[in-house]
This record gives sequence, structure tokens and C-alpha cells, in this order.
Amino acid sequence: MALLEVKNLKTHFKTPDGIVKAVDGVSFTVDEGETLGIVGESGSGKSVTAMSLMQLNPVPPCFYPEGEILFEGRNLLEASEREMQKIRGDDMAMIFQDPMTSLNPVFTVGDQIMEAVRVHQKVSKKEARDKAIEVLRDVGIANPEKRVDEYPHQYSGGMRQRAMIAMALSCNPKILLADEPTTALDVTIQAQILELMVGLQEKYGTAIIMITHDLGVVAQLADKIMVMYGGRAVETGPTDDVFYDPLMPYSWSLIRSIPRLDKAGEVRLLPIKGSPPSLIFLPKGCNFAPRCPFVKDECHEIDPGLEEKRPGHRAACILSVEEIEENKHRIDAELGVEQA
Amino acid sequence: MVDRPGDSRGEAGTAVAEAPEAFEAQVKGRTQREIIWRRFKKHKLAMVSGFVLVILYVSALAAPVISPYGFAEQNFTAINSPPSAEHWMGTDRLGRDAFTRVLHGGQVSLLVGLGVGVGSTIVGTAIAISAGYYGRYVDTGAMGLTDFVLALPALPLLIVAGSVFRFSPPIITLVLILLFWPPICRLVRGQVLSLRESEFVQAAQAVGVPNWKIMVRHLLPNVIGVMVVQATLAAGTAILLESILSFLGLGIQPPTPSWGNMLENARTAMTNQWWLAFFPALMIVITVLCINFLGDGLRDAMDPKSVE
Amino acid sequence: MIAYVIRRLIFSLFVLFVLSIAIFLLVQLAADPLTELRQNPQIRGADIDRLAALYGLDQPMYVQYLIWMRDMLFYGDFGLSFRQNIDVTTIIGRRVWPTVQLIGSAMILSIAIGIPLGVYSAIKKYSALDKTVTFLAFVFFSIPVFLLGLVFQLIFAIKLAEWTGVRVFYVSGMGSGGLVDWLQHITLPALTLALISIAVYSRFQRSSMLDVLAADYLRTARAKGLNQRSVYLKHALRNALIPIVTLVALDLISLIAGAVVTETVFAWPGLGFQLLNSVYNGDYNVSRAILMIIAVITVFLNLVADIAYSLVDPRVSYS
Repeated sequence: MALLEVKNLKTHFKTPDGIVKAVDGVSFTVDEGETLGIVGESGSGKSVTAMSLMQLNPVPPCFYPEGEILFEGRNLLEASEREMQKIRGDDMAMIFQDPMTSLNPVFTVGDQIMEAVRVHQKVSKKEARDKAIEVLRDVGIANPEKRVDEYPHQYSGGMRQRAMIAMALSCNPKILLADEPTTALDVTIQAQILELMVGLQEKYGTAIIMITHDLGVVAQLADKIMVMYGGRAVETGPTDDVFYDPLMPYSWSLIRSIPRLDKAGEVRLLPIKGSPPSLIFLPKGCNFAPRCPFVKDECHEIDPGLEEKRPGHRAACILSVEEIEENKHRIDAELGVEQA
Repeated sequence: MVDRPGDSRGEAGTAVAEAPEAFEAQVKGRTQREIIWRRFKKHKLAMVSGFVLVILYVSALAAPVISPYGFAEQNFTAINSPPSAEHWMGTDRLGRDAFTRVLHGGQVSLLVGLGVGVGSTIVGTAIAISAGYYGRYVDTGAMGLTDFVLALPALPLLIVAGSVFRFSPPIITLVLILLFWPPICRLVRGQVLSLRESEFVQAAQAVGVPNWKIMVRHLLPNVIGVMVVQATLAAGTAILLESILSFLGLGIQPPTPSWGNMLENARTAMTNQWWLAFFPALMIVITVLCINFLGDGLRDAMDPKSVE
Repeated sequence: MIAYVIRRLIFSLFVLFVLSIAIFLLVQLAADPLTELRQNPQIRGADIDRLAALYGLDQPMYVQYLIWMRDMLFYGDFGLSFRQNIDVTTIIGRRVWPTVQLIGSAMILSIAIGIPLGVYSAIKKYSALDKTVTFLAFVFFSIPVFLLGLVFQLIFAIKLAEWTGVRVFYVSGMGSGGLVDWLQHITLPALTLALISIAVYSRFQRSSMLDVLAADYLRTARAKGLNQRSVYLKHALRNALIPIVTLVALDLISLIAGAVVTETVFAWPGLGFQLLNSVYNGDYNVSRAILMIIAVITVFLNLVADIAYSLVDPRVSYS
């Protein structure tokens, strides 16, 4: 049994303009100690997916018309708020995008970590404090005995994200949700934080769901990838397969739109034209059709589901693998990319 | 709120966010004005209040025409009579028709409110725009003046001033304008400062549009929302202050009726001739309440943060 | 920060200086006691001159001002009351305590009721209670304070006594002994004064709480597994209370202004009641003294509010 199994999750929001289908039928599994990367543009539903796992979306306007979130076999969508409180922070922890605003400015970093520990474990203040110092040391905060009593504004951005990670790991969660944990940080700090997460995962054996728009981050970290577009999963598979041989035009365009240092000057970038679809009025047929470089007439009519294109590698596209490869070659040739 | 309308320091959260607005406009292709109007229409109380205010203003302005008697006209056969068909709101101890006096008193209160609302907004905005736009010494001077006026104990000073100058409606309007412009000035200046840095103003400067034209054409439309909301606040507070001063015998002097001095007159008769106090009191509360609801509706409609 | 405080302090002193001149002149214009005496045919000119000399009224205006300032600043002496012929300081001494009682009670009431109401309204946004509190707040913003006093007098003192046959609350004065008697007297004026402030606090606290409720760190707190109670009352309230310092100072200014009116309506023997009586009677030294006291307190509270505001302003504190 997988640690976490999400089946056909739908997370919708009621708004005056209609129902926003932020997540519309997403399924995936995460095993113990595994890392899943969820990739997509902003508005693709990836953050809402994470918030759904924790049941942190505001209800109302949010509601879950369908689906299951099975955590160790239990459906979290049926769990009570009290049961969820036991799970949050203890079995399943989360770190957020902006470390500058995610820590409460009026409490010391230590207090905030100790609080997380003491919500879930019957320990004395002293023990909680020792634990806080220990995790702060684990995440690479120098002189944690002193730093534990400092306020968030005395920490730099990178340190605050480390403190967030420390807080999240303080109860040894089975699964860690990381929602764009490096987006708000400087590039050099980004690498340090990612390295730290890999190290901690090895040490604690935590499963990680890494949510990001940055394919580079997942390629480094994830065992498998799910690409989201317009509230749906459009491609899933092992990291290498998806990254080196994407079978959905959207994932391929995403990869082609990243600048590559090793081929600077030789390869032209492929910008994705247009903007993500409105999640209220989804286009008929494939969501990506209006922006797709491989588009065929049928794409505007047929809504493709995820189908297994190669063993363990699924993509939502009506084109056959051969057609996709052909299109990739054609456009690469136009852009002047050498074929591998 | 006895002292002064909407001091900007007293308001939590005036942060400006634009993203949801832009998104919303994009979704259905609406203009800013349509969004504001649609939101305002949803605020039922504000719509009703606006309507009531229009009626109040029209009837107060038309008081000489529609009132059944003269405001000083005495009817000695009907002294202290309760509301009846001839005297809708009864008569006072001099046999004067209370309805007529409420209408005329309304003229004073409503015009003072309107005058102070509009006047203080114009003064505050003018000072703010010049201060925010020219910066440097103009700004320092203007802000010093703002702080100065804000630090004054308004009501106690008005009490003494009232005993010196014998306030007439125009004078009290003028005095209140002089006291009420600073909060508006502060808010508008804040907006102007951020606008001054914006690309469209810099673009206008770059192509050589003269300063006054930039101010009128680009800055004014952008601060009009803040101005309107502040104007309603100032108007409401002005009506309250006028009534307080008149009640204390230091505002509008009899025989000119104002709701405040009518209440002062009615005070001793409150238990026996309830109608003499009831109607002016009701009018003050309704008027100020409507003005406040109107302001609230406008603020909600124009606040990018507000969620429907 | 220290430079800022010093700058504000100097500015406040300047404001007070200008205010002292304005107050001196205004009161002089309002009530020249000699004019009134001269119009009285029964008083001889020589007597008037003697009185004028006694009270220093024969001096040129600026000399009178300087003497007034000197006595006030260096001797704490506000001169003699022209009507009561005793030290203004003595009169004020008698009047301070009742005013402190009234404003103090009103302030405690408004904070104790207004803040919880605001917090609750924010948490239960758009609930029946929130809508009721919001509506009532608007109603109280829209009633002149004297009218509230009159209504309370009519309903809770006069009518209540008529209906029950027992005098529960009094319409005027502050009573002469015992806690019960005191409560019977102070309840209505304190409530009159407090209601508008309750409205102010509840609105302010609501919006400050709503700002905080949208904060990222509350999501963090929830993600830790805290229950709603801790999230709201520990993490949110702690932050939402910070800007209240500014409001307490600003509201106190409103309470002082409101107290002048409330004391007059309820004949509560405090400074405000005395101020209006002195203004009506032309007791110029008393008027000036009370106005100066109000001016000093108002300017000081404004200074406190400014400094508190700059302390909690995120643009200042995070740089």
C-alpha cells in the first residue's frame, strides 16, 4: 500500500463568476521515502492540490465534489477537523513559498518550533526546546542555542526557510509538502536549501512532494514527476523519462522554455504563447490546444485523458508517440537544435 | 468619532492590492468603473441611503416652498400640540410648526454637511496634490500644517470660538473645513506619492506634458475614490459637530432653526412634548447614518481587497 | 528613531505654544469681564479700575499673556477665578477626579467590550453577529453624543423609574457616598461616552484582525496542527493587537472631547462641565486653564499615537 494515494481529486471554489475548478480530477501516489515533483505554471492547481492534502483550503468557498485522499489507507476528505489537526504537522508537514511572511513575527523561532512539537507530543518545555535546538542544528543554523531565542526578523531569508524546514521536520513527518520552497530565495541560497532537503530526506526517510514551476528543481530532486495544466495532470512518469523524453506537448514546451547554460547561444528558447486557461470556462477539447505547437483539428474536439504511452509513463495527448516525436524533431529543426 | 473624521492613523490596513481586480476585469472584460458600480449596487444599504439622502436634500432645499408654515410663524391656538393632520410633527411652546422647523433646520444641517464634505475635500486634495507632486519644502510645510491642525483639540476650541463668533451657517462651515481637511490631505498625499513614481506619470513628464496638466488629468482621476469616501466621512462628522455645538447653545443661534438648537429647546420638554425632541433627533440620526452607509458602500466598491 | 521622537517633541511644543496664544486670545475675546462691569450703572468706575488692577487686567495684552504663561509654567498657578474668587488651581483640583473616573470607566468599558466584539466579528465574518455589530457601530457613529445621553436619561432614568417605581439610575450629579450610589450615577454617563468608543474599537479591531487573518503565518500555524482557538487567539490576536496602541491614544482624545459634552448633559461635576459653565459665565481664567489642560493632553496623546504608529508601521520596523 502506498503511503499516500490520491484518486480523482477535485477541488473546486465557488465564486460570484462561477465555479473555479482549481483541481479537476487528479490522481497520484507517493511511497515512503519517495519524492514526487508536481510541476506547472501558476494557476495550474499545484498549490491547491497540496493545500487539499492538508485540508487547508478555506471551506467555503472551497469544496470537494469528488475524489479520495488516502493517507495510510484513511480517506482524509472524510476526516474531521480534529483528526486533521492531529495529522497536520505530525504525519504530514508543509513548508511554504515565502519564508519572510510564513513565520509569526511576534514569537521567537524557538517558540514556534516548540509549539509544533508540543501540539503533537507530550513533552516538557525543556525537552521541546532541546528538540528545537536539535532540528535547527540539523537544518544548518549555526549556534542554534542562541538562535533559538531570536525573532524571525533577526533571521535572513534563507535562514527563515531553514527554520521553516526545521519546524516542519520537528515531529518527523512521514510526508513533507514543499510548496515552491525556493522560489522566493536568491539563486545561491536555493541550491543550499535543495541540498539540505535531499540530505534531510536521507536522514529522516521522509517522503517529499515538491511543488514547483521550476523543472530544474524537480529534475535534481524528484523520483517521479507529475506535470499539471489547467487543474489536471497532463503527464506523469519517472523523472528521467518525463524530463528527457516528454510525451505531452505542454511538458515539452516547458522544458524547451528553460534557458540552458550548456547550450547558451546555440539553442533558441521556445516561449509558450498565450496564457493558462480560465478555470471557470475550460475550452472544449484539450485544455492546452489553444497554445499547443503540435495542435491538430481533432484536439479542439476530443478531451484527452491520461493514457500510458510507454511503460510507467502517461501523458494526456491524442497524438501517438510517433507523431509527438515527429513534431518535436520538426520544431527543433526549425529552432536549430542539434538532435541527440 | 466626536472629534474628527477618519484619521488615517486609526485605520488598520490600507494596503493596496491590484491583482484580483485585474484578474476579474480580464475574466469578463469589465472596466474598472463597471466593477465599482456593480459592487456598489450590491450594497443595498448604501443604495437606499443614497436615495434617502437625495430626498432629504431636495426637501430641505425646497423647504421655503413645501413647508406649510413660516418657520417663525406662531399659532397661538395650537401651542405644544402633538402631531396632527395640520401639524405633522406637532408644535412647540410658541405655537410654531415643528415640521416646518425641521425642514428649515435640515437646510442648515444638510448644507453645512455638504459644504464641509466638499470644501474640506477640495482643500485637502489641493494641498495634498501640490505637496505630493512638488515634494521638498512644499511637502514638508504642508505636512507640518497637517500635523498641526490634527493635533488641535477641535471640539473644546469650537466651544470657545462659538462663544466668541456667534456661528452662522456659512461661518461654521468655513471653520469646520479648516479643521477637517488634514485626514483627506494625508490619504490623498499617500496616493499621490505612489502615483508620482508610476510609469504613466513619468511617461507623461518625459513627453513634456506640463505639470498642472499631469496633475489634473492623471493624478486627479486616480485619487477621486479616496476623496469621495473621505468627503462622506467629513460631511457626517460636520453634521454631528454642528448639532453638538448648537445643542450647547454655541452653534447656530435661534431663531434660525437647526436640528441641534431645536433639541436644546426641546430638552426640558422631553417627557411631556416628546415630538419636539423626537423628530429633530430622528433626522440627525437618519441623515448621518445614510451618509455613513453611503461612504461605506463607496469604500467597499472601490476597495480592491474587498471580496464579494 | 530617537531623532524622530525629538523632532516630534519639538513640534508638539511648538503646537502648544501657538495653542496657548490662541486660547488666551479667544477667551479674552469671548469674555472681557470688564466690559460687562462697565455696562452695569451701579458699579463705580473707580471700583472697576481697582478690580482691573487686582486681576492684572489693566496691563497690555501681551504682558497679561506673559504673566499668565509665567505663572502657569513656573508656579503651576492658573490665576484667580473671577466669579468664585478662589484659586483656579483649587477649582480644577476638585474637578479632575470626577473626569478621570468618567473617562476611565468609559475607556475600560470600550476596550473590554469593543475588542472582543471586533475579534469575534472578524472570525465570524458576515455572520449574523458580525452584521449586527457592524450595523450598531454605524448607528452609534451617527448619533451625536448628547443625543445618546438624552435618550439614556429618558429611558433608563426617567421612564424606568416611572415604570418600576424605583430610582435605578440618576440623570445628574455624581452622588455623595457609597459604591452603589456612585454606580447609580456614573453608569449612564459612562455608557453614553463609551458607546461610540465601543463602536470605534470594534470596527478597528475587526479590520486589524481581518488583515492578520489573511497572513501567511496563520497558514503555517494551521499546518502545524494547531486548533482554531490557538490560531486565532494566540497567533492572530497577538499581531492584531499591536496597532491598538495608536487607537487607544487617538480614542482617548475623542473621549476627552466627548466627556465635555457628556458631563454637561449629565451635570457630572468634572472639568468639561466646568469648562462650559466658565464659558457661559465668562470666568476667563478657569476657561483658559481647562482649555490648556485639554490642549496639553491632546497634543501629548497625538505625539504618543504618532510614535506608536511609526513603531508598528511595517515599513519602519522591518528596514
